[in-house]
Amino acid sequence: MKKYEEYYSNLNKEVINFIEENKLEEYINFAIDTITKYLSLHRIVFDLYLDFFEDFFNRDLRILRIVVRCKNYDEYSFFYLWRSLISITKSSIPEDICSKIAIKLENES
Amino acid sequence: MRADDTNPSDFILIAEDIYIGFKEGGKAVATTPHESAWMRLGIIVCYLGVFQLLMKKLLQDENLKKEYDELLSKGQVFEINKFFITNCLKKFKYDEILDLYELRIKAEYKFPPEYNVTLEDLNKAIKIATNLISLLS
Repeated sequence: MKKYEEYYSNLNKEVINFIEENKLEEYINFAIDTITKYLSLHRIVFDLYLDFFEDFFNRDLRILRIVVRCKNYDEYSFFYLWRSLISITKSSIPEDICSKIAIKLENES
Repeated sequence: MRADDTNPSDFILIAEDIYIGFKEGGKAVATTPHESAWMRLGIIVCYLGVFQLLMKKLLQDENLKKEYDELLSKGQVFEINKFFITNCLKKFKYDEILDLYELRIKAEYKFPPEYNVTLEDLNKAIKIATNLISLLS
């Protein structure tokens, strides 16, 4: 089973199509794995889901977002954590793929 | 006329002044009954500061400069957003820019009562902008 399907049994068809059309499976799996390991190591409670960023002016611009929703995370280091997640994940992803995937961090308090 | 030597962080300082005005009660905010107008303005200037700095960096690449000039000459202004966002993700891996862009759209184009801008929105915009600017400085 593909890793992203493991996480999201009720994944939106559009998301699946986007992943398959752009051949992002390998990178999404890598990103989910890396983020999960990093947050678990730091004992951060979180949920993950996938959605799209769409440009208000140009609907052709679609970027798949890995949304990480932390529970009651310390606001002081919120932006540091966000940057860390992007750095550890995207440093191993090719440049052209980096413009199709983005990581979003949310804090649920 | 003086050359425009505005520093991107000048824009963030404007936004911070507005935020502090709300938090501590300041002159700028007290001059208008429409608080959300100030908050919208604060978010927009955050985006503007980041946009100017990152665009300057992007246009140091000759190929990107050519692409940008072509979009401008064809009047494809909305394509410039796409150009800016995709290249920020590609070149700098600044994923936070998407959130700042969404806040700017909300501040500039989406109106009450469906969409109200909050102080948390302004706070988030300032933090994202400050972080992105400090990464390049």
